[in-house]
Amino acid sequence: MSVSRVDLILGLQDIFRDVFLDGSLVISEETSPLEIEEWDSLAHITLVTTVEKAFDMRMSADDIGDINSVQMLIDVIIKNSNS
Amino acid sequence: MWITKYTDQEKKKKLNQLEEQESSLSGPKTLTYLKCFASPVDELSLQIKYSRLAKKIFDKCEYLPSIRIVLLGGVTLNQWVDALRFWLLLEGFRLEPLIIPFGVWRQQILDNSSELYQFSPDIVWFFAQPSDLGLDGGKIVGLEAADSAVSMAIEDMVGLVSKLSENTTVLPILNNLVPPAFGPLGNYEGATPHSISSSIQKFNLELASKAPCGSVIFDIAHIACRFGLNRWHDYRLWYYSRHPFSFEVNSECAFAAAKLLLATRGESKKCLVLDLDNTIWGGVIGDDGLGGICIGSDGGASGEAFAAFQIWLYALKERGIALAVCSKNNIETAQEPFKSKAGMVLKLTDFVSFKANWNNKADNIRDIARELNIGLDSFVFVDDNPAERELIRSELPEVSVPELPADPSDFIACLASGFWFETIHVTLEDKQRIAAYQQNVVRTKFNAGHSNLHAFLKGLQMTAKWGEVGEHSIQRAVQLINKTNQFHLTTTRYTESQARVMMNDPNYWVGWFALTDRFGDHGVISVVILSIANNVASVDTWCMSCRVFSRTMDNFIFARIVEIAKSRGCITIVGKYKPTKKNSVVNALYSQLGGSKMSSDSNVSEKIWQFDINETFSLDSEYIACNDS
Repeated sequence: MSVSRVDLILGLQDIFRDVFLDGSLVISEETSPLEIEEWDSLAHITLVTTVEKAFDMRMSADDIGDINSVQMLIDVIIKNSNS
Repeated sequence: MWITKYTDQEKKKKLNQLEEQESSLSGPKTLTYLKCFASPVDELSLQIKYSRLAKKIFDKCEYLPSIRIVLLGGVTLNQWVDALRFWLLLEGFRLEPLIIPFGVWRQQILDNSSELYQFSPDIVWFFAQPSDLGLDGGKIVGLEAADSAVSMAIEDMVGLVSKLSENTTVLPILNNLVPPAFGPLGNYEGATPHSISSSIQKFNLELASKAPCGSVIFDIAHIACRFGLNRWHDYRLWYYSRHPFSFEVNSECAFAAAKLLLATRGESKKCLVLDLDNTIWGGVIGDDGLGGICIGSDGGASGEAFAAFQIWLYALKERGIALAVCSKNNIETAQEPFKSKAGMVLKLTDFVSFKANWNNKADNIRDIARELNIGLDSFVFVDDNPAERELIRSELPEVSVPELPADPSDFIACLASGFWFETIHVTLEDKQRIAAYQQNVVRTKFNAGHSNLHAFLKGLQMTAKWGEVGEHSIQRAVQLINKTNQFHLTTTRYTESQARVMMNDPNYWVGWFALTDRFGDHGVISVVILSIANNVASVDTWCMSCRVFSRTMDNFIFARIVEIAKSRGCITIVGKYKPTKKNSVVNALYSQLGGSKMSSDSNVSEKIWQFDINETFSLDSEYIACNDS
């Protein structure tokens, strides 16, 4: 059963709201550190580990480094969930 | 883990409820609410929420004392520090951290004008990694190379800590090293002394014996082993961003660190109150009788478990934690197993108080607190009965009550998981403390029989010794300064390094006082620090253990202060009182000793008295003889 990207965005939005302390944050595939000021390298690590836990998956060190948008985050989730 | 009884789901709900009401709750209310369910082994998403919450409510907590910590090492510590902030708030402290950028931590120690020194920290925390100290492998081949690598690493650490102590009186806390989860030698890593694993173990042992005086070791290696080295290490985070361990570790490690910091302030718990039935033996003595209760090898698996628990409790008592019993039983019935049951480890004499009656346990614990003259916040209560646990949690919220599991095999782990009894050293006074508490109970009974104060004080046959603090007495002196709250005129807190500086400075006099009476030796019970300048002796610090209140020991001590001041050519003595919630007992001490109040009544934070040394004071105690030997 595959989950649609739209469903994934909704799940990620909750996580983003938690990590960035903004209950009204709305994200889309284009959302990147350019749009969210607090998305610095430290918050990035917190974000990816929270996503890993929430989606019960594990990213590689390269994945962690490469992710710089919600779109790439979703790609990584889908890629790693298939294995 | 058994600190709280809620499931993760319930905790998430409670946290959401808190976040909704958070802006209307006060700092203390928020922290109390969190304390009843937040646990360091909660899942990662909860841990991250705790860290966030700590930042959000930080400004509401300005009433809490702050701890300034500089963190050093070739690692990224921001998320760990966020967790530490949360766990320290729950213990009643505001964390003010400074993380030194990991490329420049050595330089900052060596440069007196660096950010590190300008920050004026209370604590400098060394998070050095094996890679910082040349112990990360690849370079170590062969036994000699391993030995010399360890020696160099020790010299390196000791040198850096000493350099720090040259320039400051901070408390250095040193992490030991966590071994890697795997090594290229496989099983042989542990079978040879020249592997990285073995070198790290050797380093840790040597650090324990060679760490400079006054520094404290944080046994992070043990926390890692307990957590599981496989789960501890997350090499992705290390390669990507130099995080020292997985984020899953943050809370447990920060919790242990917060408890260690409490210990450095002398604020660990002092007394463990124990139920009896199904807590230190299996079964109910009142119903099952001596033959029916279960302890020791005759009692099967649970008998062995209870015996192991008693051995653990005995070891706590041996290092100075007071044990007390609070049981719903007749006293004769409750005491029978100690007298006649084979397999029992604890004896009646191991307890400082034994309450076996049918009264409310909260009242009993209050009585024990009064008898021992320690605060309710010094207590841990262990009882297998959930109703009793709930009662104490609601009646006496300052008492810590672990959620004891059903299986006695898990009791030790449960008690250990709270880190309530952390210590940074074990002194002779700690070991003698239990005897001292017991002597005190005898004294309390003796006091009750004497309505004539003069006869009573004479009857105590007190003698006192005193002197200047030196190497043999410095640990005890620092312990007293840091943990005394009631008889402490200025509530100063000093690290061992700071005390040493004053000890060696001719403009200071740092003195200890010890008292013995007919029932026993109290040991060192007071510390005084005088600062001497321009013919004025100022009492910087005067603290005294509450065990010796109301016996004219304060008169004895002040008479000695006058002697010292005179011998240094002073003509005036100045005493200050800084009011706190706990030290009102000494608010009129200097008036009673005959001083003239110099400060105005409108100054609420500090009151000052002056004494003219040439006036006669009827000071010395007629009940305490000076033991000059």
